[in-house]
Amino acid sequence: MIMNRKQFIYNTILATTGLSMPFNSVDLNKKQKKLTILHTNDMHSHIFPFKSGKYKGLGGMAERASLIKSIRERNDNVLLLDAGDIFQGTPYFNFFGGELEFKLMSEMNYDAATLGNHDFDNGIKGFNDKLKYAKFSFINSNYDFSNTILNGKIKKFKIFKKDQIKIGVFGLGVELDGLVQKRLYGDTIYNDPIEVANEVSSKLKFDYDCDMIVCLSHLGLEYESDKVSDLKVAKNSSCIDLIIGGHTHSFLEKSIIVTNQINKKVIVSQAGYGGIKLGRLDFIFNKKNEIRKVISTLKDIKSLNFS
Amino acid sequence: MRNFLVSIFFISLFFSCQSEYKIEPSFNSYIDVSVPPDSITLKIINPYKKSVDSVMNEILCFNKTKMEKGKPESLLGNFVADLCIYETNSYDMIDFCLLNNGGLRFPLDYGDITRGDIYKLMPFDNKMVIVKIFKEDILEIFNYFEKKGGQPISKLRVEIENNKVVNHNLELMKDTFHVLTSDYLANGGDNMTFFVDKEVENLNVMLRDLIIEHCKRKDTITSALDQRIYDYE
Repeated sequence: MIMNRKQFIYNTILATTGLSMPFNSVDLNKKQKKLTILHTNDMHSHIFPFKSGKYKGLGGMAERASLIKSIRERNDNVLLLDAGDIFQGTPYFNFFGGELEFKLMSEMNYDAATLGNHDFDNGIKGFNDKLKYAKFSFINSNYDFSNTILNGKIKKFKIFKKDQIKIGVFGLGVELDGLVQKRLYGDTIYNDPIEVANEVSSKLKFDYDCDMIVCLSHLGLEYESDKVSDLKVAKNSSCIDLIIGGHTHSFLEKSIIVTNQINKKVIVSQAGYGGIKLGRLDFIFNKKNEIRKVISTLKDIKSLNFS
Repeated sequence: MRNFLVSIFFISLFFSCQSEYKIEPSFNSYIDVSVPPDSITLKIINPYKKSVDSVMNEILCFNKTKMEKGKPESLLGNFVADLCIYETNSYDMIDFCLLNNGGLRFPLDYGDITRGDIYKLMPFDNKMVIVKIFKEDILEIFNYFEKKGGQPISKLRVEIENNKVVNHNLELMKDTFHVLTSDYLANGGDNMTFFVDKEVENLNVMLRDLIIEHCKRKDTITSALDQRIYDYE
């Protein structure tokens, strides 16, 4: 591939100035805007810390609640998001159908969640019946619920405003056919995630003037097959800044950086499963509300009862 | 001077390009500290916990053999598939039982087995069904075994050599077969495409409840390997 000369010089300068001018040197007293995004995925009804196995003593929703409270005390602009599969995995789901999970997420002040395949495990009706306990929004852009009882209850996207920064959040769900029984998902229509992602994200950026665009995805990080995944969505996008993923239960100790269609960075993050981890990304913005720096963290939620 | 202007130009370009930001790992340690459970949250959980615990702590039986899943056959897979056949013996048309390892979510430890242990083993509300398949589907099932390297089965025996099923115990003079499985698999779950669009009889009982009933009836449970799927390699 022949890179044109201008592009080459430009890239070279970028690389060298990048080295010589670390952003850390930017004066912190100049009141930088900071957005803290906390995220979970595939919590699978794990209410209590794991009692045995590799993750013994980790997780727990009451422990997560404490941690989130302490982070909120130190940070003004927090967005708390979940990437789906809230349901299924412990008797708490079999007994109460997700009621407790939704109540606890509401208590923690989750801002939004997307739907995972297991969130259909009690059918659309089972999900709809418990929705009244969720004081946060469900966002999905590629499932068409128009012919179901969920019509109008799932947002295509939502815009959050924190310290004058506009954050557009949209959601992507995995193909249900073959993964979830037809009788459970009913007349839900699955649309192509990449097409939908590009359509919604450009709408959020250009029509709604969002400063940052976040995709909540339950597609899964990546596959050996051609199956659509977070990395594929990221690569084929041009407006998405961050994908918070789920489904593959991937523990990404460090966020993955993907280069998109217009050579910009897309961050892809995922926080394992079972509420073992809380993902954290701190975004530093400049005066023009452009992202200048990102700090990525994925650490264990440890229970005091086990340590 | 010219050089100075050029560098100013590039530096401003640099800052105008939104995506060229830096990503770094955090040196914050406060996520890594142990945290006490939040008391308000615990208050919400408590009534739910009480009602779950009172049901889940019930001891159903005593397990004499630690059972885990595996391939080609396993103690856990054999136990579950065998009890499915045993507990549905009033349906005498059943030729064999086929389940999947993916559906067995937790091993059974040696010792007392509680209702909670069975919920961990089988958290899904999968229901038992009998699927009527044709002779040609049997070959598909064998192909499936060759690819997957084994799944929990009962009343069926297959021998595999060089990734091919070379022997089995089915009476292939028949044209149709009745397979006991779960509704999840009967709908093509875990790539069991040979079940799709077949005649299905619903037994109106969940796999988990079948296991629970079996444990209660048996007092003590055990399992053994019997080379029902035998791989010559």
